[in-house]
Amino acid sequence: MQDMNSKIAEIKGIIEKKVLHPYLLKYIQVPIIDDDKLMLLVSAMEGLDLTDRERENYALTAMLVQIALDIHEHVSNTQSLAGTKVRQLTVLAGDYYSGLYYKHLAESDDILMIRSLSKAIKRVNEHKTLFYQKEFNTVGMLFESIKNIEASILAKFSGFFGKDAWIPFMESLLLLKRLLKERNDYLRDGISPFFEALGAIVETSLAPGGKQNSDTLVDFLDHELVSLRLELKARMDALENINTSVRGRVEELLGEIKIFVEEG
Amino acid sequence: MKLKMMTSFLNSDLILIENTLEETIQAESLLLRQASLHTLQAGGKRIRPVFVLLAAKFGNYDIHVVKNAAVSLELIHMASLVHDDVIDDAELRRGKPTIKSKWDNRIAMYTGDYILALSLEVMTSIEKPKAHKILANTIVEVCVGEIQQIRDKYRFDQTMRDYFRRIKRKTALLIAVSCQLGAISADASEEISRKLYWFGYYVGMSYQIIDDILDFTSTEKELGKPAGSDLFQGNITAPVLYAMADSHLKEKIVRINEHSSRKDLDEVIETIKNSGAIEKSLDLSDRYLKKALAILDGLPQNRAKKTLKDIAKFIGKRKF
Repeated sequence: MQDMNSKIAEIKGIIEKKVLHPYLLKYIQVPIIDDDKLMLLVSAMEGLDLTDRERENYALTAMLVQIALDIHEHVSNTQSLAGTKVRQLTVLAGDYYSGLYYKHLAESDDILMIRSLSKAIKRVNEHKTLFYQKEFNTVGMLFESIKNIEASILAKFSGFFGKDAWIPFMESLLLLKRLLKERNDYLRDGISPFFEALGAIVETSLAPGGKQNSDTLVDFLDHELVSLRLELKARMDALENINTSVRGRVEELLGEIKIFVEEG
Repeated sequence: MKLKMMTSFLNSDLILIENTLEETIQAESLLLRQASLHTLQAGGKRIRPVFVLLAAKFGNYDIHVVKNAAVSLELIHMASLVHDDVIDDAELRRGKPTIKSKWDNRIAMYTGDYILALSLEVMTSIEKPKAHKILANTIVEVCVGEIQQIRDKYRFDQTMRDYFRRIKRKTALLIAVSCQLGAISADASEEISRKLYWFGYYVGMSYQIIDDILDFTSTEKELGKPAGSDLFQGNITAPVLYAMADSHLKEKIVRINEHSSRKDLDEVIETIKNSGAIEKSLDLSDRYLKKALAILDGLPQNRAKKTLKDIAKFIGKRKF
């Protein structure tokens, strides 16, 4: 456990150094490195015939892509003069980090990985657009889009290294994590694009004619989360040699669901 | 002579590139596909693909290989325009609504990211590590240039050197690299690739200086935006820098900011136009053009060389 944690901390330090751009960071939020994604990536690469340097490089690349895409989520539609510079630099920061990931792979002559990641980025943006439009007919389609948004980059890496068995597990874990976040945000703020999409599906296909209130929607999601909990557990158990850090994190997420199911 | 006529001998290849651009944009999401095609169909001079093809004529020209570099570079350019419109909050580009205005900022961000990924995917058809190193470095440099442009807004104490460094990253690099990658993708010699890079670089510098001049001398109709927009937005360009050499003019110019009235701005624009700064800027552009033409002298004689020469001259004379 300690070994994995220190490995992740070390790689995180490298990423933080790489994204350090004093002028950009004066105006935009410090890029957030998703610890879970980094842990999943490092764990999926365990047992591969890669040097530490190669492992670091791949982790750095994946996280740069993720950071680049995540930063662009902060570009809002509302304009204000005070926020103009922030908006401008947020756009450029994402583009700059995209350039850095490409440069990183190009310097390693890794053309196949460039191709693979480009496909993943396309997929993420396809699904971000679908999610933004909120035009889903079924809950399954909505969840599928979230899986693609959250897990496409890691899935491409796993597939590239022949670790296909990790893909459904990563998808389930990252979907569950995102749904828990959406649930928390909704209960706190009362608005959420995810719940708007969910509401539209429930309204049109599952309970036609009836306007859904927030409690019904949260109950509906909780019900789905319980199913996902079982799915995630089964997918984790199907993986061989999963490390204790990943197992611990999964237990933590499953525990979160257990709490509100019991409370509910 | 118009650019289209100069490159008429490339017509079938340019049509192939246009078709490939359209075929490449095959997003599953209807909205993403519409937004991407909207950018593509807004047109443009396709100057980067033209440079790629012409440069490739100095090597073993195979359009089915070279087109990948041409398509990739045009897509990169397109992606940057989509994001630039969010940066500049631009409603129109080439007289048509921008993606951010037709849809919104968020869709523009997704579309730009999608097109950039698409461009890199296309580029991987060229399995030459050197080509990727060059392109990747260029993308980073272009972004750094844009970040610097924002940092330098309304910074009236900047020098001509700052300006050169900025326009190099903003415009010249991508044109230089279009020429270089055209040559590399056609296996032209190292020496020829290098020369073509410098040709593109000088032409690109000249092109941007002319662009900056036109911002003062063209009409709103010709520009598709109000004249003097650069200065109003705080972008300090060659004409402004030349005009500021006169301390009296400098005093007036440095008062311009984002809250300035149209009347104040128009007055300053007139002052700059009458200061001789436009002529000095034209002379500067001309010096870059001469350097570009001198580079061409060292290249083998062929039709592409003549066309590159014509394009360079055309850029020097363009009115909008």
